[in-house]
Amino acid sequence: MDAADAVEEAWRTESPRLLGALLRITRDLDRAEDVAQEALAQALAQWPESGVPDNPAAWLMTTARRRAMDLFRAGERRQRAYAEVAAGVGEAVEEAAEDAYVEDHVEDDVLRLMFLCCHPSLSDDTRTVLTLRMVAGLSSREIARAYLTSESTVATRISRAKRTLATARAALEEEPVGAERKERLASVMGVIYLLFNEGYAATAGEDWMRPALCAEAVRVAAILATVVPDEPEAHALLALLELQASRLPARIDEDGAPVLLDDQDRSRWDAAAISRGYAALRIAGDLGGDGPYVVQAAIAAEHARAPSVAATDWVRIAALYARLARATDSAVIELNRAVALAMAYGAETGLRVVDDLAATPALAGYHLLPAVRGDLLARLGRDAEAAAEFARAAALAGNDRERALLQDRADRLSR
Amino acid sequence: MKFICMVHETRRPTPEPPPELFAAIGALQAENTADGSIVEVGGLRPVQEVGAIVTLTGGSVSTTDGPFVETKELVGGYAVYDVPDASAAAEKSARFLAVHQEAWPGWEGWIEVRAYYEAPAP
Repeated sequence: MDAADAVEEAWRTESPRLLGALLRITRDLDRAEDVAQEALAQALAQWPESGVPDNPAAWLMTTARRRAMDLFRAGERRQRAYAEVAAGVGEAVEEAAEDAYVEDHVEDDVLRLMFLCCHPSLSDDTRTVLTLRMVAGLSSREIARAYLTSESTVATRISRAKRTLATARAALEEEPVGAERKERLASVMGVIYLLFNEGYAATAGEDWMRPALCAEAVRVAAILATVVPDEPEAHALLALLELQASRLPARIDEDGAPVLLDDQDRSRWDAAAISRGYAALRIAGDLGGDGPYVVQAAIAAEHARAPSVAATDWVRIAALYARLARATDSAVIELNRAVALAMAYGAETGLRVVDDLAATPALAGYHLLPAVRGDLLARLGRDAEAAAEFARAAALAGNDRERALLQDRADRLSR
Repeated sequence: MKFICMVHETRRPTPEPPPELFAAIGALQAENTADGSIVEVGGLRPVQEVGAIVTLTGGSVSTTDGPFVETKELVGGYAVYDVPDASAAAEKSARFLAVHQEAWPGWEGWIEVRAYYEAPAP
């Protein structure tokens, strides 16, 4: 591995720890990032000469801390900033920088960083962008590519988010405890989940999936599970994402068109991801977890276990969805339960649930409602109605690939 | 390079592992997922519970499924890592044992680290 690769890899795996610790020292996201970037630049300059250090992460941390201290000691021009930095550095200089990675609070640092990125004062979209930047270590350009937007839009959004956070003084907040901690943790998990979903079925654009986003979501979920190892839901979220991601290779054909569950070549499912998913789910269970992510991961595990759609335990899946629906009161989950019911007990049973759902305003404009309804009607031989539903679903679909698939089904049924 | 690390358990101080162990193993596993080093991981049921040992010896194949296993539990679980070299795989295994030492006092065992044969680069 050459030095540039080593720098990149160290940054990818260590940036959340680095930024988290620097956040504690500098008490400001911008300054933490500046200092981290400077350390990175120094690594890029030195490593090709001096060789890659034995412990790249510790090297980066030491260098970044020194930069923070320099900042603290330097002239008066930015006095106000230093006054704030001082509060953090005062304690930091006491400790040897090399100890940074054995300190007990390194994990708290990462969690604080995640909490900060998912601060309630930010919108969901901004939270995911900030998480991608700070926790996953993606550049503005990579985020822009993932979200199909311009680099400057991402940069603007990030700097606005940082201003919001600075105004909210969020960086200085004590780590939330008790009920608030649970709530913030749920918000962090929600953002990771959103991130994954955005990759799994893009809300806009030409492509149906953006696997790189899914991979980042899995990685961030894994980081979260290391910082809250006692939280079964964190392991369950990781399990869920691994199991869902295992199907990605079979979910599109060579032309990039979607392949639905019925038609997927299960031998192309990623067996290693499934094995990691099972392992994480087992740990969640052993920790006594039974929350929404545990149930969702259990559903995903049922699919992973089944050799075919027909041989899937739909009765158990329908029951798991019922449990989930009770816990979350979500119309989308109810829609999925309808699909499972249809598979377990016949299309009519499913259709009854879907018809009830059609009356709820929550799913108005959600393209999968008419898509499911169309599918069930088609199975009952009610082709004309089914075609109309698919056409409606196509009009509502956000990405081009999915729209094409739905329109195609509508066309074939009306022939 | 790929390595399979098999966990052999020789002493189990309590029938069930403590919950802290699950949290600790989970964190370790998540860490290996985050840095991309873990390929596959799994637990194995005790061989005397489900499983068999199939042997070819003296020209005949025999299958033992009974309790005739020397060690109490042959292999409890395994992990496949993709890491640069054998010392990195041994390091991963050492951490796995360290977690046991801390969270499940009295537990004893060893980990067999084996490298995959890999096709040479074309």
